[in-house]
Amino acid sequence: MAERTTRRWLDIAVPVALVLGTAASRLPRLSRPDAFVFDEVYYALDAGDIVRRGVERGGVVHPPVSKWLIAGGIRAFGFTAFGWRAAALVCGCLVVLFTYLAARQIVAGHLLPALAGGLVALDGISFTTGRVAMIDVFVAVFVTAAMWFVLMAFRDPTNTRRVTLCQWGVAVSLGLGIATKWNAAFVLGACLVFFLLLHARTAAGERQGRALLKTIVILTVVPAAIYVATYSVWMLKIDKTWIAIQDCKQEQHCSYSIADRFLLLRDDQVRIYDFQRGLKSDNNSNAALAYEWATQNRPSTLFRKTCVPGFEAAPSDLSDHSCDGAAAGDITEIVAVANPVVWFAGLASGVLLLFWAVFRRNVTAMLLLAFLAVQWGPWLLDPISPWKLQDRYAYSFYITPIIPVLALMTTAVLARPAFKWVRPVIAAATVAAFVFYWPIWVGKPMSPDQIQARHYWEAY
Amino acid sequence: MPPARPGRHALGAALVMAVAAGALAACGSATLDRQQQEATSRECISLLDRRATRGNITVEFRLDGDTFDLGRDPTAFYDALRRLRGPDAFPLDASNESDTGRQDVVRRKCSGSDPPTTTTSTTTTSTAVPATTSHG
Repeated sequence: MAERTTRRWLDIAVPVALVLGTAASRLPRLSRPDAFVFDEVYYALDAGDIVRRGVERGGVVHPPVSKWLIAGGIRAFGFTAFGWRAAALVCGCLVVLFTYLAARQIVAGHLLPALAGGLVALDGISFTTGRVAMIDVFVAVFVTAAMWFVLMAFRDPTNTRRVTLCQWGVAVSLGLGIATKWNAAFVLGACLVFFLLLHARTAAGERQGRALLKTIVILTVVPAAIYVATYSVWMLKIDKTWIAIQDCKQEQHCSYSIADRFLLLRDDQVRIYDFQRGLKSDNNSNAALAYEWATQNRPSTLFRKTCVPGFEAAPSDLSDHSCDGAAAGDITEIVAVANPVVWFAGLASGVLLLFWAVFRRNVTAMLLLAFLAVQWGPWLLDPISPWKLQDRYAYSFYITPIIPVLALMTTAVLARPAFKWVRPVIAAATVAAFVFYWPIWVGKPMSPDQIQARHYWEAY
Repeated sequence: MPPARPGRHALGAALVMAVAAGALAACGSATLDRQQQEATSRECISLLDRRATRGNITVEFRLDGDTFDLGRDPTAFYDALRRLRGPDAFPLDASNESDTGRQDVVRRKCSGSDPPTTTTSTTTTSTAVPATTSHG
């Protein structure tokens, strides 16, 4: 009885502590720099437009959900650095929570799931993207939620009611995920295959046919409906969109039926697709080819400034305050680079899981590897894939949704008794690396030598 | 112990989200427009700050036909920037019919250019230029 009470208390206390700890570690210097970091110049301003007019003004290259979320923070806290970063902070904490909940589906107890959440909380990619108003942390929250639902369904495939609920959870999560960034569609495709295989194994006869059909409907129609629904405000306020303004000017056609609005939505989606197809970043030192993510050797610098004495003369309302308290010659920079312990332990665990997947037919290993493959693979295959016929450089922060997968892989390996002794080593090394690299994740001014000492990717 | 009822959890979550959405809608700031102009101006001046330095030394740049040097007189530097790129330089209707949104207005107005003659200081070290954005 006492044991059950303790367990129930831990069921609440552990996730609450994880979320609060994550928030507490990310709050300091959240408003520094008090200027746009990297692509915030797009998303914060787009979100400002959404708050003001309901739709973005123009130049939109991703669906609206992330900007709606950023707009929520701006609505609550004003158009300030804290306001446009608040949603990322909340969603970054949710990524940690969902990783913990996903880990609870594959390992017993609270300690290892807490370690999984902790690995995500203390990783540099999760940490930096969880503090800036860019879209990758929002993709991560929806993809991690979907992963949680899939692992929950596979934990007891015979519980048909729970499997159905999990399918709905995946459909809603990834509908929102695709409405944040199209990459989530690859994860949805993988989840559809997972559930079809699950039903093929567990059901038989007519029941199997019904289950397969229901799965296909839930995992295609629901996400598609959610995607279109996220454009409902866009279609209602279409006269304020650039595409409609141009249409009105050129065609003298300024009143829109429902059919017209859907046609303009289609045109806008084609425009986004064309932009993404044509986007090449090979002249950008901040980008890398996807295979280079493995070594983290070309991380994206989101912000960098060398502090000179003249900056002290900047009036408070004009200063970005990034150099406050700095000595002359100090550098402040924010680099989206992984915590090396989390990253390399995750990759090493992936190799072990590959062995278990191939030789032991371990379902959890297969699922986790599939989640990794469908998020990394499209970028790796990009040069030969039908959706892009040229090299597409990518930014290190695109791997934000992959970090929870790596944390779960590490946790799955550490759950084996043979690796019990590694757990405290990984935990302690992760914390130590987090403390050491924290300055280049939050933009704390340091001397050039101190900054250079943290550029571990330049060592190879 | 009765079994957990997912429907009740879903209803609870929906209620919490509805309350949160209502709270967000209710506490909007009336000064949002001005805040956005101020933030855009700060971004602009942050970009020009980085344009005005190379490594830990200052270099000249040109903006709107004038030459600026942070190292010579920082107070005058920021006074001039406030005049040219203060919040009023970023009216919210500036790019009403643009497909590029307001971000490219910031980039265009805040990049500066090299002065026609050589810089007054010599360069001994260099650091990365301000991060290039992706929008990818």
